[in-house]
Amino acid sequence: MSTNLEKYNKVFVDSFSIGESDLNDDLVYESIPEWDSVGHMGMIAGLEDAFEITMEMDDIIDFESYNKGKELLSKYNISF
Amino acid sequence: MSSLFDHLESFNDHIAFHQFENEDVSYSELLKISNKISTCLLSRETIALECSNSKEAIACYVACIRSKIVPILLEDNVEQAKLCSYAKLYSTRYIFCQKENTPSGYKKILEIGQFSIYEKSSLSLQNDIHDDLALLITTSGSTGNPKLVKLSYENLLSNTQSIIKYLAIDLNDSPITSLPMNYTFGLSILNTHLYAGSSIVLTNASVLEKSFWNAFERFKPTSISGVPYTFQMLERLKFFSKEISCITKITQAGGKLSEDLALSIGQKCLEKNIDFYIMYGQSEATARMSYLPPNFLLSKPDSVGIAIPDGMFWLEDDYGNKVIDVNATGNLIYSGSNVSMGYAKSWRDLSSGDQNMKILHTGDLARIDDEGFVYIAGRQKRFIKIFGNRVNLDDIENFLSKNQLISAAAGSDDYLQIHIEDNGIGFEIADIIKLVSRFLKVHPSSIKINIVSKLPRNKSGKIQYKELN
Repeated sequence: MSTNLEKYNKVFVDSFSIGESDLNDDLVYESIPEWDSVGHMGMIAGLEDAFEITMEMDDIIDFESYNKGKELLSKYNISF
Repeated sequence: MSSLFDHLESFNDHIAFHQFENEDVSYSELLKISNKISTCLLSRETIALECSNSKEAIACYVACIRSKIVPILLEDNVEQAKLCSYAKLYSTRYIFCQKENTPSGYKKILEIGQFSIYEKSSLSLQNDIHDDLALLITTSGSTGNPKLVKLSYENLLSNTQSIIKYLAIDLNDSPITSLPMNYTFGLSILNTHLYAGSSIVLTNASVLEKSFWNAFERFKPTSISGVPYTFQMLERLKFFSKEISCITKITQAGGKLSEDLALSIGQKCLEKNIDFYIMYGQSEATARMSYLPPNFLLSKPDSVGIAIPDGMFWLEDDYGNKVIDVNATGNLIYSGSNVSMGYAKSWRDLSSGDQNMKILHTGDLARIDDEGFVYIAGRQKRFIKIFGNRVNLDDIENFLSKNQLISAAAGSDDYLQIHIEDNGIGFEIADIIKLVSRFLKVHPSSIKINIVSKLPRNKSGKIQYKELN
């Protein structure tokens, strides 16, 4: 059983083809070519599957960074 | 013949642009900026124009059309090398781009907001530009293919008037710019709404960005447009369960919307009293060739509709004979005043006139039913569309061959499949995906690589694409 953080990180690593070391404060929307609108939708879909949730429109749009995402997921009772 | 924007003065104080971060811009203010630009430029010269959804870039475009300067429409944030290669190939006298993008061999002649206009320092012979030529638009997304489509003043006016007629666009319409104007669909939205005197909500943001929705909520646009991928995102965002009573019209083009999505959106639009138009077109036809009237959406969701006003479709077989049987498949041919003058590959091609005689071989295979509705069945030409942008498959093969890889590019819309011959040296598939994804500026998830020992070829060495899977 992996922790929420491990699940969260795996979605980022898989969606954007990046390494664990790239997961930090600087990882924001459009900071890497892989995190464009297409990558964003793939990542959201990945998170929804991994945590079995359906995210609200406002949260999908507010999800502008790796860190901000953790904050938003707390609304869905997912804590890190 | 009057040109597209000769009558804009009549809209006077009516708002041309709403912007979330900036003040509204009236038509008279737009014309003031546009006239300031015009006075610095000589007519019948070319300008490389970096197209953002900003009042300055649009004012420059309006200045070009009104003062008969020929713009080459290039994407926002275009790399300097690409900008310069177009400027060189087309021997452009002027460049309009972001301030920090100073091109070498050019000197600044005007600053306007965060943009500048540059003029070539050493002028060669004056370009010989055909009187009918209005603008040049790229054929293939962002691969930097130098081939451009030549559109005439008549093309722009004719297509604009046809679209306004079937979409019933008037002064009270207010679109939000979800597409860039260097993209033919985005340009047609701009042309039609400026022509009608509408107020346009300007943003460079995508539907996934907060600033798009900030502008949406404040200015309450009446129409939204997108490519198939835009609608996948809007569905995901549950757009139709939002408060969107301001929206009266939705238009889709830039590739085939899946039948499921068309039906699902069609149903929701019906409930909300929104007219949803599926449309079909190409840069070679200025923008639009057909539209599906909303009342046919649920009965013919797989059709791209009927020809636009003043346009006409028919089918031909491979020998150029008309296909008369209803529902038989053939090569789709279109005729109308919006068919482009032809292609240009360098400045040498700017002096010639219309080569198409209003007839366009679309390169698509289609059937036409007994009511004149067109159904696209496939493509003859070697390109696919990825997220609404045309990607020339030969461009990819040429690009990879420069990287010492022999390949055959194939696939379908939103899915690029590249078959690569094993060269014995060894390479990482992930590296190739990254290389191609950066070249095309598309997301790596839409690219698949297949390594083969040898590509299937015929005796003359031509790749046999049908044998690839």
